[in-house]
Amino acid sequence: MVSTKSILAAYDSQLRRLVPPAVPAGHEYQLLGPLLRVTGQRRGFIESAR
Amino acid sequence: MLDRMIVEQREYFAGRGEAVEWKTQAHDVPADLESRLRAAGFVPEDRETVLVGETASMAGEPVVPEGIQVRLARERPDLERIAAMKSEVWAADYSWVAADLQHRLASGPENLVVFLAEASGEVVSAAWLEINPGTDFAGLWGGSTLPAWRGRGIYKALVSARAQVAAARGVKYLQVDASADSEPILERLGFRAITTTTPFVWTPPATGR
Repeated sequence: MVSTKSILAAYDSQLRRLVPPAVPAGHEYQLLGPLLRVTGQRRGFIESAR
Repeated sequence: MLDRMIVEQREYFAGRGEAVEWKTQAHDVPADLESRLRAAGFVPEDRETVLVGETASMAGEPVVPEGIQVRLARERPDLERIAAMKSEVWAADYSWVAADLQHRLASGPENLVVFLAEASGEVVSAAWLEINPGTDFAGLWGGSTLPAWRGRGIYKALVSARAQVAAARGVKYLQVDASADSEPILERLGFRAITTTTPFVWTPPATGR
């Protein structure tokens, strides 16, 4: 069984600041250094690298 | 440096007159990120648990309760019915969900799979799968069930239905940001908690005349 620590590491490296390959119309994804900023959704969204 | 970035983002959204969510995780570095966000005027919403399960072990044939039909939803009328159901469940306006799902289905239909569950033509539950190409993960999002229909296995059936789709796409892990209601169900299905997440929200002040 894969350890929880390994799964968390994969989660951090693969899902954080993830920009989808097809961005929905009206949405904008911007990578700003350690941050991902998304606009055009119901409200703005910020996610940081760990 | 971090405090300056927080203020810059807050001011960016202030300039747009929009609210903004800063998604935090319990294992974030620095550990005092949440207190820095509070100091900048961000307010925490409900904490959720991030759970991960191995897709292969979740992808059994869905056991759909008697009287319930589970099917895919792609068209706007169904998406609006799902939004109405969510608004009832959460006692809040989720009408934006219909347009949001429609935009996502239009831009990447291969990566978003929306299921609804009906009873006598009424939408009683819904949930969707978001596949993240190039990663080991797909997300389970949006799971909601009308209170009168809980405890019958509908949520579990929708997890299995989405896991089947994910397994067919070769997805290794399923990830969920789970509410306190969903967390025990998911843990019984074999999901493991890996961290928690809390949205910190800044809302622009109301402008009076």
